[in-house]
Parts: sequence; C-alpha cells; structure tokens
Amino acid sequence: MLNQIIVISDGQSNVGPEPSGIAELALNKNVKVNTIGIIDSGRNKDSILELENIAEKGGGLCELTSLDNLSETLSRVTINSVYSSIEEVVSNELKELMDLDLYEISPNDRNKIINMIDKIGNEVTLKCLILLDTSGSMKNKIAVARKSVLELLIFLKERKGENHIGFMTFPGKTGHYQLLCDFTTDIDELKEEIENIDIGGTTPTGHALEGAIKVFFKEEEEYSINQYII
Amino acid sequence: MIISGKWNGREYKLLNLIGSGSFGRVYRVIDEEGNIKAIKISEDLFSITNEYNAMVRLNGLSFIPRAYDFDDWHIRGQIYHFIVMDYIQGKNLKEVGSSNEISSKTVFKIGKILINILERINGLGYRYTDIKLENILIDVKGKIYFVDFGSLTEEGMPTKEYTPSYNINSWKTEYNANYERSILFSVTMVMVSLIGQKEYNPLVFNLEQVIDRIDKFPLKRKEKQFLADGLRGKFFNLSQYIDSLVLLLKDEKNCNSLNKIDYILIASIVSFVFVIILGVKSILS
Repeated sequence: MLNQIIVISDGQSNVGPEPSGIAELALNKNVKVNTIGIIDSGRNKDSILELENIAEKGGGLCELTSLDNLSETLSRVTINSVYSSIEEVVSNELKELMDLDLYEISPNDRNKIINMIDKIGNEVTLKCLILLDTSGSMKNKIAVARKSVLELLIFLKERKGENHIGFMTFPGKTGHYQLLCDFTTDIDELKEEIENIDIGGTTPTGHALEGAIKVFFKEEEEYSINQYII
Repeated sequence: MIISGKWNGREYKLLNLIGSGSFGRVYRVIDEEGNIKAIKISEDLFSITNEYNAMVRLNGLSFIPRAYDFDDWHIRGQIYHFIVMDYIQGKNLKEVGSSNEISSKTVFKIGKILINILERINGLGYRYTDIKLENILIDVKGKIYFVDFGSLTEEGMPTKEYTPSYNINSWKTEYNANYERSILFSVTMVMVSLIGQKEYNPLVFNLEQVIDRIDKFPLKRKEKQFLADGLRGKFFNLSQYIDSLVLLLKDEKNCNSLNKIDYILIASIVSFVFVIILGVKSILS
C-alpha cells in the first residue's frame, strides 16, 4: 500500500508549527508528502520555498502551476509520486539484495525492471489524502480546485489497484483543519462531501499535516493505550 | 557540445534546442555519420524508458519518427537519459494554427488523418492518450507526424499523461468514456481549436460554451453541426464519424451545397414574383 498526502496551497503557512518538520514526521511513518503551489501573478518566493521544503522533507514531489493548469498538475503529481515511490523501493531492494544500482545497469536489462515498476504502479493500492488550503486568498480558486479533484478521481479510476481518496481542508470550520471526507473508493460519496467548502481564515499548514498523519493512523490510535487512560 | 552515450558509445553534436517541457529537452543534433537527428534528453528514467519502448513498438509506422538509439549520458556528476530519433523539419499544429489561417477544408482533412493514425495505433494494442496541438507535427511536404510517446500505453494499462483541453474526462466528469469515444472527442477538439484559433480549458469553459463559440465560426451549418455532435458524443463509433467527415470533405469539393444566404435570396425572389403576379392579377380584375 502506498500512502501519500498532497498539499494544494497558494500561500505560506502563518499559524502553527513549521510544516516541513511535520512533513518529515510523515515520511518517517511512510507517508510521502507532495505539494502543489498555485502561482498568482505576484510570485511569493517564500511560499514557494516553503512548499518545496515540505516536499523535500516529506520525500515527495513539488510542482508549481497556474490555476488554469491545476487539474493536469494534480493528476500528474499524484501518479508520478506513485511511480517514483515504487522506483525508490525497487532500486533500494536491488541495492540490498544484489548490490546493483539501477543507473549502473545497461538500458536493455533496466527495461525489465522499469516494466516491473510500471506493473506494480498500476496494481498497488493507493491511499491519498488531499489537503486543500481554504484560507481567504483561495476564494476565487475553490471551484477550480474542486473540479480538479473530481478529474483526479476519474483519472485514477483507470488503475487496476484500489484508490482510497480522502479530502481535508485547512483551516476548518471550527479548528485548524477539517476532514471533509474520510478515505473512500466511492467517487460519488467524495463528490457530495466536497460540494460545500467554507473559505476564509489563516493558513495552518503544519497543523493540517499533523491532522493528516492522524487520519492515516486512525485505526492504530483507536487501539492504542492512550485512549483508555483517559 | 557533444553528447556521448555510455553503453552504446555513439556520439552526437548538439546543434540547437527545438523544444523543452516538464519532460526535459529536445535538440537537433548531428550524428557520427553526419546525419541530422533529433535527441530527447531527460532525467526521468521511468518516463523516458517508457517512451523509448513505445517508439520501438511503433517503429516502422510512417507517421512517427523512427528511434535509433537509447542511452545514458554522464556529465558533471549527473545522469541524463536520451533517445535519438528522426528529425522532422516542420511545425507543430500549435505553431501552424497561431501563425496562419488554415482553411476549414484542411482542418477536416487533418482530422481524418488523425483518426486514421489513432486507429492504426489502437490496432496494434496501444492507446495514445496525450493528444494536443504540440504533439502533432506537419513537415515541409505537408505530411503529418505524431511525436512524444510518453503517453502511449498498452491497452488495459492506465493513462499516464493527458492534456485537459483534449481529454473527454476533463470535460464530462460524469462518466468514463471508452477509447473510441475519447479519440473522437480529442480529434474534434483539435479541429475546433484550429478553426477557432483558440484552445479551450475545461476549468474555464463548459462544453456548451464551446459549442456556442462553434456556432459563430464562419462555417456551413453542416460543418458546425458535425463539430458540435463530435463534442457532445453523438457519434457511436469511428466509422460513423469518418463517414460524416468524408461527406463534409466531398461537399467542399463540389461546392454544390446552398448556404443560408442562398435560401434567403431564393425566398425573396419567389416572394417578389408572387407579389408581381398578385399585383398584375389585381390590376386585371
């Protein structure tokens, strides 16, 4: 199973912990953190740098895009993250088992391995949580973001493996984040749940990442002793 | 600068940059025998290997550049991967569409050729999913080529690359279209973009708005209807679509069909004659 988080934002975090540190925690728990930055006419260097850092520490990919190309970018980042995760696993195994570097194999032999990565990428179960920035500046972008998420679902449906997609906004109605839709394989359910998205407030990216990690390990937490002490 | 392959040992001298994108860069090069070739260079091992495999499988088809070499290039501690292929002297449809006005007849001809190409590729068990103006080239003799095979997938494997403007699922998110229907949609949209000299983004427009634009195109009613039907998914299969296209092209040749203005002219002549007859009758009576 592949776990990934995709953060979609147009600005810099301004409340809560430093997000790249939390992204590192996620990676340690085997959840890759990818970021997509929506670039307006006025480029904000700091927010781009932050998104790049989150992806770097989170072991994922970062892509910047204009709003018009968001849907295409979201699909590409999601699927590229799947294949690059598998490429990483396979090349680590190769090194460990046979002391081979993927790049030190002739293109002909490498081909077989690439085909294998392609096959696994198609069949692996994907758990993907989308974190959408819903702070004030996203107001005019939310309709496009929603459309892009729906397009992603249809795109992923062609895969043989299961796709469990969840959707979280930050900030939430009452807290720093809100899980609008828990992991589901049902497109219609997700479509319904993301129909109404509230906009406005701060950008607590770090808190949202903390919340996202919790969503991935909810079950684990439910059976942990912490629950009983209270 | 010289690019030298690590495994096959061939060398290529860089001449100039032809194009670049998220995939990497494409250069015009000269090989050791003095032939002009094109070279695609990328750091993304996975995607460029897939692309090379796709080109090899389609090698020999006249509408795609032939692939000659696939190798690694080590430079300054970096590893790049490259594919050497035929250099095609020409322009892509985006360049053609924005610089010249193409006649609608030519656009319909292009549409027919694209359908044939996509059908041939599908016949070999593959799907070409990233249809867009930049990926279709017209050479100096007017021959059409497909380039960029990163999106080529075996039937049964999922789509890896697409461009929303030409992707049916980006416009109609309610259902999953089969390959035949998605081809018809893409090719129709290519024709609409060429005639309207504008690419439509599904995040900005909805399909009915595009069809409204088609209605304002300087085309015959039949031609507009054909484009609208293509986008709306009114054609059930490729042969039905091709038949309609052929009919439009035939019409164009004979120029026998009547335009709206002709009907108005005929109607006004008839009513004029009618009024005169009535007038003469009333004078006589």
